Amino acid sequence: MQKILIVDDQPLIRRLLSITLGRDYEVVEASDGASALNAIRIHKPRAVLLDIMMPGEIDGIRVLKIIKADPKLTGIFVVLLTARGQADDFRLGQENGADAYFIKPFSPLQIETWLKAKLV
Amino acid sequence: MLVPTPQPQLNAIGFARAFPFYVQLDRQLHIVQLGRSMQKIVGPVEPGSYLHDVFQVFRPKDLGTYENLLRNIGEMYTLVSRRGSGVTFRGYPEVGEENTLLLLLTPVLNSLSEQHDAGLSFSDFAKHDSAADALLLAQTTRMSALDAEKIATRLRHRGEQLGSILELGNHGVVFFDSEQAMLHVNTAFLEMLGLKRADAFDMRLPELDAWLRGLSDKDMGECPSLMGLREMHEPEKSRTTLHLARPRSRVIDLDCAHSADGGTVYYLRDTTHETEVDRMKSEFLAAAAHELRTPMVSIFGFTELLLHRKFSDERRTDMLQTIHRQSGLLVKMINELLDLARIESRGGLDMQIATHPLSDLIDNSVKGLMRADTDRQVNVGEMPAVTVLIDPEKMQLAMNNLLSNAFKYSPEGGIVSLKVRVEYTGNEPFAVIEIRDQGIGMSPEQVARAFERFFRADASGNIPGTGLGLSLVKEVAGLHRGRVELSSELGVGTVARLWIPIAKDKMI
Repeated sequence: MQKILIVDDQPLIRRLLSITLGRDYEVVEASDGASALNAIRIHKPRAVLLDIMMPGEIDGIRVLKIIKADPKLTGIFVVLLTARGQADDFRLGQENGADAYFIKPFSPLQIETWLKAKLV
Repeated sequence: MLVPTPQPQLNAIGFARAFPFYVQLDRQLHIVQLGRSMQKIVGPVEPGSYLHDVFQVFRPKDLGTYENLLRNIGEMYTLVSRRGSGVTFRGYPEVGEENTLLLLLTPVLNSLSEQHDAGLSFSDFAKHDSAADALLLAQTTRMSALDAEKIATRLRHRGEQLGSILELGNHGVVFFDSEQAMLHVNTAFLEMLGLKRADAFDMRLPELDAWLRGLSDKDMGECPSLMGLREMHEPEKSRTTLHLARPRSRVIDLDCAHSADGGTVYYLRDTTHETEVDRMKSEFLAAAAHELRTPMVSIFGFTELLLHRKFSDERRTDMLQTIHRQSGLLVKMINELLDLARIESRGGLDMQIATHPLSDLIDNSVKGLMRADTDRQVNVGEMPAVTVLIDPEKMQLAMNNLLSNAFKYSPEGGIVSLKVRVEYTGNEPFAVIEIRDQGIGMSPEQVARAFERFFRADASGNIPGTGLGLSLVKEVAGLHRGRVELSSELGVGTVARLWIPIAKDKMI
């Protein structure tokens, strides 16, 4: 099974995505930027669902930059999740190579559909 | 051949008009007739009245007989009326018809009030009367003088009014003349720029520019120059923002305008507070959007899954419970936001403050909590018998928030205690309600941020809450002229102290 990493500080959001995707993927969870980076190096997931606004030093955009800059992590899809639908976040995501951008509240089934199309 | 020069003829009406102040005398110096304006001054005179009974003759000195009078033809006469208001007349005598004598006189009037006292108007003078001319001139001069004085007074008042308006306002205003010398500066301006009036008044525009550069916040880019602003004639370019670091950190909107005489006016508006409020508003909106969307993610996501997928009964129930809980949280958050907005926007105007026994407030708060969500008890200490000044509904809202926090943040149990003591701030007595728990506590950093909107000490999301409760407590306490304080230690517990004013005359 392909691995997917879910990064969000809200446990309920992790749970929602985990239930949605748990049927077809192996789901790994992280609640902040630092543990997300750890989990990425350990689990080498195919895709990361990434919240932008998180507590701690490392926010979602920073995690995205690190993934996209590291040649060993090429090919990992990064899907940004954020409550902020502002143009700024969207632009920052695009500039840093995010593969998709979903605004909260998102449709979990749409995320699943997107992943199924990409992770063939 | 000599051609006789034609003599101008004057008929009786013409004569009367030309010499309204004439006096006609017979040879015995009895008055035959008076001009119409003269009659106005001396009143009705019996025909045959003696000249000296009606007038006192000052010149010529020896005027007693007709012969003397004839000898003095060509001399100037001065008479003062004995009746009326004693008007002086000057004029020249002429020999009239049938050996009568005509004194062609003109009143000597130096002011409009004298004219008024004599009962005369301008129509009583003949067109050639020098008195009328002098009076007209006097009147015109006096009116101009009065006008000028009035205008000057009005301008002075206006100047004073403007001066006090400028002084009263909290906007800084400074005028420079076309030579760049300071003409006027108000206190607000001096205060904003940390200047003393005595020092400021010698300042020229370039010196003020240098002073401003010294105050500016270097982190906010180059300081705009007043001189430069002066050269900008389009209105939108003659406006800029100053960021000052000294005498204290300020954001100032600066406007520049030109006066007709080549001077310059600078208008400074301190927008530090507005800028700060704007920043806080957008921060608040961003936080509110984030916080409101988070429960929405669960509600929206789980209902979508339930609609499109099959789950075991157990999982279905679990998901429905989550949806229900999150909807409840959303409602609570919206209610608290509305409460906060209402309390803030009304600024306490709808407060129903009255005296209430403190014990009622405490009892109701504790009972309300018991009903709501827990079977745990509050240890209520001894209650001082005091009456407090509160809006019971709002204060109970604050108390409920503090008590439910104490329980929420001590998930492992432990004692929640409530004690009250009386303390004075200056002369003001306060009831200090202390709510202590033995819960998870907070780090000093968390305590510092605890009153921020949406701040949650529990980032795990295990303890439900909106992050608005303490903001509300703070608002309510403030509106009662009280306050709320927190002290806390991680893993040990939290103490909240709420200060409520005591009704002084109700102290027991």
